[in-house]
Amino acid sequence: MRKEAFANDGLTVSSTPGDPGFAPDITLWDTDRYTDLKKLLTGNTAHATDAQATVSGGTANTQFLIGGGYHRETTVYPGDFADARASLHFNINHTSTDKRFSLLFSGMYANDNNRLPRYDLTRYINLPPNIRLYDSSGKLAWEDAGILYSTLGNNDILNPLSLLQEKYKSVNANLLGNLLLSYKIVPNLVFRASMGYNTFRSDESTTRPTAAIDPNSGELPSAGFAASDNQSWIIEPQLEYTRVTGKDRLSILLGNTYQDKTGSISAMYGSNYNSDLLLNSIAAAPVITASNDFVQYRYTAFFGRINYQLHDKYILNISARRDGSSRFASENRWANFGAVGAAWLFSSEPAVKRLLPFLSFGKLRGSYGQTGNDQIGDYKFLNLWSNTTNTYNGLPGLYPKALYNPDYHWEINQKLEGALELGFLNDAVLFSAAYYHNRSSNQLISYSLPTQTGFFNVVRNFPGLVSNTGWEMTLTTHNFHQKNFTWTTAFNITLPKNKLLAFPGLSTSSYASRYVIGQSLNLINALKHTGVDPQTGVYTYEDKNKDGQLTTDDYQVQGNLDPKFYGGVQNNLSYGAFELSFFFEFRKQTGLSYLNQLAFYPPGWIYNQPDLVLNRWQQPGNVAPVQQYTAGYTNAYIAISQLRNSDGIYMDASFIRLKNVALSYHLPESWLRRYHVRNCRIYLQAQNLLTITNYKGSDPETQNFYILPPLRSIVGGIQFNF
Amino acid sequence: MKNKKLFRIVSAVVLFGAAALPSCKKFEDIPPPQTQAESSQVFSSDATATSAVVGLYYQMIANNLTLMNGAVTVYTGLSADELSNVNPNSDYDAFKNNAIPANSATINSKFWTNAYRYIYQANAVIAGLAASQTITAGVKDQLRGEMLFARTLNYFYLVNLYGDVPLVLTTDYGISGALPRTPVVTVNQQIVADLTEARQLLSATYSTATNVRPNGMAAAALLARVYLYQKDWTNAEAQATAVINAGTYHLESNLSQVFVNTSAETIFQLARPTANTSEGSVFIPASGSAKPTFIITGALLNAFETGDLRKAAWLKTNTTGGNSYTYPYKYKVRNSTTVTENNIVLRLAEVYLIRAEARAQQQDITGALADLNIIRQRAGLAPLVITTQAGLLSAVMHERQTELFAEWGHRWFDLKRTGQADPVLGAFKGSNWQTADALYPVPLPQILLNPALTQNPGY
Repeated sequence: MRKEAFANDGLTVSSTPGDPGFAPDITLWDTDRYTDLKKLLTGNTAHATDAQATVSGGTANTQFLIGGGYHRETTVYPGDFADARASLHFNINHTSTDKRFSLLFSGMYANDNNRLPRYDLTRYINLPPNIRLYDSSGKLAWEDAGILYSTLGNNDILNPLSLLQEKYKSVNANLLGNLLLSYKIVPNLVFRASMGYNTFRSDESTTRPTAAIDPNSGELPSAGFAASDNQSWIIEPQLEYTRVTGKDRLSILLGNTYQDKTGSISAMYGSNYNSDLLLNSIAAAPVITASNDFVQYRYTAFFGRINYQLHDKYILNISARRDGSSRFASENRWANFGAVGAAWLFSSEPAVKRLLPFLSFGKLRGSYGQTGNDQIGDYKFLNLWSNTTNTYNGLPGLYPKALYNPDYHWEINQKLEGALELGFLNDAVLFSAAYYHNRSSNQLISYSLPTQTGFFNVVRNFPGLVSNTGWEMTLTTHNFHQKNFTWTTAFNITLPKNKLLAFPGLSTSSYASRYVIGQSLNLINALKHTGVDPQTGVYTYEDKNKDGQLTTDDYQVQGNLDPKFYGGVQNNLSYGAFELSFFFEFRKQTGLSYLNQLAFYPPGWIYNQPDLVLNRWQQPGNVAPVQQYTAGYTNAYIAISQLRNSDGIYMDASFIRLKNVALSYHLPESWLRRYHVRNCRIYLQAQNLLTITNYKGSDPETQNFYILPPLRSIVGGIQFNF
Repeated sequence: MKNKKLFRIVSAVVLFGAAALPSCKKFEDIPPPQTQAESSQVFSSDATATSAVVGLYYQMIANNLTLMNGAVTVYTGLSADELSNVNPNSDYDAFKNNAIPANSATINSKFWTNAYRYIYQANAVIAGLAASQTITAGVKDQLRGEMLFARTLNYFYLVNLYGDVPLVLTTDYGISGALPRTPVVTVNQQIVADLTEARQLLSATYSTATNVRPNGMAAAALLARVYLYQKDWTNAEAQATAVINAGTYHLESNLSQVFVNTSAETIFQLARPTANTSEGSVFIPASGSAKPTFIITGALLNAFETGDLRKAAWLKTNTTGGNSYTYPYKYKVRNSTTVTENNIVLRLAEVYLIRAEARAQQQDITGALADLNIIRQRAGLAPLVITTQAGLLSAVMHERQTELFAEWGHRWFDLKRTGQADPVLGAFKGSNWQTADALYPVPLPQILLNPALTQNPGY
C-alpha cells in the first residue's frame, strides 16, 4: 500500500532521511515483522464478578433491610486492570401504631477502587503493523533502525504498550442518606418532609514512570494527585390537603425545596523526579505545581399542585412553581413555571362499556406545561480571573478564565403532549400512542464563537426557536397465559423530528454554516461528494456556485443525522421452571462511515488501514469508493482532506441488535427444602450477541474504528433466597 | 377536640413557615467564588493589576511550540529555506512543502487562536485599568504601556503570517465575534499608534531587575522593525538610533553568551520559572548520537562565509548512521529546571541591521556600512567595503540570514517584505512553491464560525 502510494505521488521509496520518498517503515524496518495490534491491544477477554446479598425482617410497625454487594470487572486491554466496587445499603421503615406518623430512613455506602487504564488503546490499532514493540534487551522500544517513533506521523506514533506503564488509581467513596417523614395532622392534612444528604469523595493518583517515557525525550518521571469532595443536601417540606367525597377526590399540595451543593478539589502535580522510587510521594518531586477549587450551587423552589378527580373518570391537574438558582446574575435568578393536564378514562363510561365490550381500558390524556433548566455550571455570569499555573518573574500571574455573560437566564421549554391508552380483552393487549410537541426558544448552551473573540464559546441562551415533535407508541401483548407457559411481547417505537423554526440573524452568526431554517439542528450541510474521478483517481465534489473553488458557499443540505425511528422488542417466555427473555433494539439512522477516519489518516500514509480501503482506484478507468493512495501532500491529499467537509463521510448506519438474552432456571423447591433454601435460580445473560446491519467498518453505534465498541458479554449466575 | 384540631393546623402552618423562612434571607445568594477573582477586584490594586499583566507573559510562554514560544521560529523556518524536518511528519511536511491545508490544526490553534487569546487578555487589562479608580497613576501608565506592547507583538505576527486579520480591540464578543478581516494597512496604523503610545508610557529603565517585562526601548525596537517592514526608512532609523544610543545594550563579544538570560544585548525576553526555552528543547537532540527533529537546510549552511564564527557557535552537528545532521544551536539548553536561557524576543543585533538597511535605503552608504560591519566584526568576519546601494542592501539581507536564522521567522518575513519570496523560494522549493503560499490560510474552522471572514487566495 505504501509503495503504491509513493508511486502514485511520483516518488521513489527511499531509506535516506530527508528524501521526499523517505519511508523508514518499509525501507529500514523489518517488513516481515507483524503484530496484530487490534488483537494485542483490545483482543483480550474482560471478566466481571458480581455478588449481592440482602437480609430483611421486622415487625408490623417497623421493618428493616440490609444489603451488600460486590462487583469487579476487568478490561479487554492487555495487563492487569480492574474496577472493583463494594457497597452496603439499608432501609428502616417505621409507622406509629395510630398510623399518623411514618418514617423511612435509607442509606447507602459504596467504595469504588478503580485501576482502569487512562487511555482507550483502540485509538492505536492503526499503527504500522511492523512496529517494533520490544528492543533486543526485551525493553519497550522507542525507535527502530534509529528512527524515533515520536518523530513520525502527525506526532501520534508511539509504542502503545508504553501507555500501559502509566498507572491510574482512584478510590471513590459515596455516602447517601435519605429521611422521609410524614405526619397526619388532621385526617385531611398531611405534613411531609424529605431530607437527603450525599457525599462523594475521590482520591486519584496517576504516575508516569521511567518505563512510560521515551528516553530520547529528556522528560523525567512525573505524578499527579487529586482529592475531591462533593457534598449536597436537600430539604423538601410539603403540606397536602386531601378531600374525598364519594367518587370524587381533591388534593392540594404546597411545598418548597432547598438544595445546596458544594464541590472542592485540590490537585498537585509533581514532575522531574530523578527516579521511580518515590513516585507516589509528592514531596520527592523537584518541581511541584498545585491548584484547588471550590464551587457552590444553591437552588430553591416554591410549588403548588391541585389535583381533582371526578367520578374516577375525569382528572384535572394544575401546577405552578417558582424556581430560584444561584447560577444566574441576581436579576435573572427567578423564573415561574406552570402546567395543566387533563385525562378522561372513557372506558369507565357506561355507554362505552356497553358498545365496546372488548375494550377493557381506555384513557385519553393531554397536557401542556413548561420546564426550566439551569444546568450550565456555576459562576459563569461573573467576569472571573484565575491564577496562572506558575509565577512570572516571581510574581503571581492572573488570566481571564472565560468569556462572561451576565445576561443569560432560565431556559424555559414548552411541552405539549396528547396520548391515547387502550387495553383490549382484559388487558391482554395494551396499546398506547402519544404525540409530543416541545418548543424551546432560549436553550442554555455553550454558544460557539470564532476564537478571534479570545475564546471558543460563551454561555448564553440560544437565539433560535427549536421544535421537537414526535410519536411514541407501545404495544404489549400477552400471547399465551397458561399455567405452564406464558409469553409476553412488548414493542415500542419512537419517531422523532427536530426542526429549527427561527433564528434571528442566523446568516451573520457563528452558526451560519451549520444551521438552516426549517431543517433539523443535526443536518448535514456540506459539500456534495461526487465520488472518485475515474480519470484522476481522486475524490471530487460539486462546485455549486461554479466559481472554481470549493468553499462554504458550495455547501448543500443533504439530510440529517436524526434517527428516523428507533425502538425495541422485548419477549418474555416462561415454561415451567425455565424463563427466557430477549430484547431486540432497532434504529434507522444515517451515521459517520469509515471514510470519516480516512480524512485523518489518508490510506498510503504510515498508518495501518481497515481492509475496506483495498477497494481503491489504481489506474485510469477504475471506478472505486476509495481514492488512490497517497503518501504526502499531493492533490490526492487535498481531495481527501475535503472529505470531512462533504456528505461523503456518511452512510446508512441503521441496525437491529440482539441487545439482551437471559435464560434462567428455578431449581425444584422439593429438592431445595432439604437444604433450607427457599428459592434458587441459575441464570445466563448475554449482551450484544448479534447485530444485523449494512454498516461497513466498525460498529454502527460508535461509528468509529478507534473507539472501543460495545462489548459482547456473557454472564452466568446463581441466586439464593433463604 | 375542635381546639386540638385547630392547634394542629396552626402548628403545621408555623412549622411550614419556619421551613420556608430562609428564603427571606435569599437562600439562593451564594458568596463569590473563593479561588477566582472578579475583574473589578483584580483592577482594584496595583499588585493584582500587575498580576494580570505578568499573567499574560506567563500564558504566552506556558506551552512549547505556540505562537510566542517557538512556533513562529519552527514553522516559518520550514516554510522558508531555513529548516527541514528529518523524518516524515504530516504537520511539519505541510509547512515544508508549502501545502498547508486550510483546516490545519497548527494554523488554527497554535497561531490564530493563541494570538487572539493573548489579545483578549491585553484588551481586558486595558479596559480594567481604564475603569479602575484606585490604581496609582504611574502604575496605570506603565501597565497600559506593557499591554499595548504585548497586543502589538501579537498583531505584528498575525498580520505578517495571514495578511488582513480582524482587528479586535474590545472584549465584547458581540462585537469582536462578527468582525471581518481588517486591511493590513489599518492594522499597521494601529500597531504604530499603539507602539508610539507605549514608548511614551513606558519608562526607559526596566520595572524589574531583568528585561522580562518591556520598557520604552523594547517598544522603540519593535517600532523600528515595524517601520522597516512599512518601508518608512527615516522613522526606522530614528527608532533604531534611539535604542542604540540608549546605552543600555551592548553586543556580547562572545557569541556563546548572546542567548543566555544575562546577555547584554537582550532588549526584551520572556522567562519561565522552571524551564528553559522551547526552541532549545525542540532543536537540540536527546544525545550526541541522536538524530535531531529539524536540521538546517543546505541553503542556510552554504550562506555562512568562510571564517564565520557563528557557524561554530550557533550550529551543531550530530553524526549517526553515517549521516550528519546540522541543527540550530543558538540556545544550548535542551532540558533543565535550572534556568539559564530565556525566550529572547528583541535583541540589539537586529536593531543594528534594521538601521543598516534603513540607512542604505536612504543612500547613507557610510552609516549603513558601519552598522553592518559591527555585526560582521562580532562574527569574526572582515569588514565589507561596498559603494553601491544595491550591493549594500543585498549584503544586509545576507547578514540578516546568517545572524537572525532560526529566530522568530526573520528569514520568512524578510523574503516576503523584500519581494524575494518568489525568486528565492521558487528556486529552492521547485514546483511546491506558489506565490499564494506567502500567506498562511485563514483557519477553516474560523471561517465556518464567522461568515464575515474570507480565505486567502490559493486555499
